[in-house]
Amino acid sequence: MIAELKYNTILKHQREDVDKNRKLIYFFPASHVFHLIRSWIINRLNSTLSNQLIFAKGLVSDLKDRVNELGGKDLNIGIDHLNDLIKVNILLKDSIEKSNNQALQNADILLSDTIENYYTALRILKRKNNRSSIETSQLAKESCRHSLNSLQTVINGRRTT
Amino acid sequence: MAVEQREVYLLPHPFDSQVEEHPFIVLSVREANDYENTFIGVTITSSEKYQDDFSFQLTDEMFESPLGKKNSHARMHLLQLCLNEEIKGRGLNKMKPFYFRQLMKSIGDLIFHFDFIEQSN
Repeated sequence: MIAELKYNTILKHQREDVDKNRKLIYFFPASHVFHLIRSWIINRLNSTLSNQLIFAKGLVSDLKDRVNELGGKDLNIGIDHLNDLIKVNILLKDSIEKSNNQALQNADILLSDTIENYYTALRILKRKNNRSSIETSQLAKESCRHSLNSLQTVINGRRTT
Repeated sequence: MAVEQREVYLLPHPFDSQVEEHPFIVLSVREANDYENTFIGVTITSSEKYQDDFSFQLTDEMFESPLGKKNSHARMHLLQLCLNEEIKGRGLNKMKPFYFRQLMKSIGDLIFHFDFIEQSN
């Protein structure tokens, strides 16, 4: 289970792997890059991302199966790793979008699907994470005051049309 | 002023005009915002002390232009009713649809235990 670090090592390696692939994208648009190298980059990228997508779907499925075991545990390490992994995938997706290259379209689709799955896993962990309540923060008070000010203006009969 | 879903605006501090304004992401749709010139926004902060399970991490790549502040996150449980007329200046930014969808899914799931399903226009 993710709380017991079984997944945490994999998540860390996934992050490093995705980051390496992101660096390859910088070489991709160069016109002097040979066709064979371009094909190698695309194949490597699609292969890494396909494997990652399978892992992400497996992770979500496993967490759903074990959801009752997760309750009340400290899941912060898993949450941090997932947040890092989402970040690096978003960076890669951004690099692909900016390259504006049709040959990378499949990689972009794979990434979108993977990021969605990681967000799903993140939400499962956050729902089950053992969190303690804290005092009302200054930010929360400010937010309430904003809503109160808006409501008072509306109640006082402000017409908008 | 037309306020659109996914746009980012600055609103003044509610108690003290000397304090820095906070940015917000607009969650509600244009039709609702136009109706009474109000909108629902979610607070963005970059303060480390507020990082927790109700934080949705924001990065520059999620927006049409860079946010300009590191470690930014939306406080998903701090949803506010805002007045269009209180907006400071012009819109700062706009969140990309893919990441806005993830934000709305997270708010639905973690704040309301509801599955918000996106409707096509």
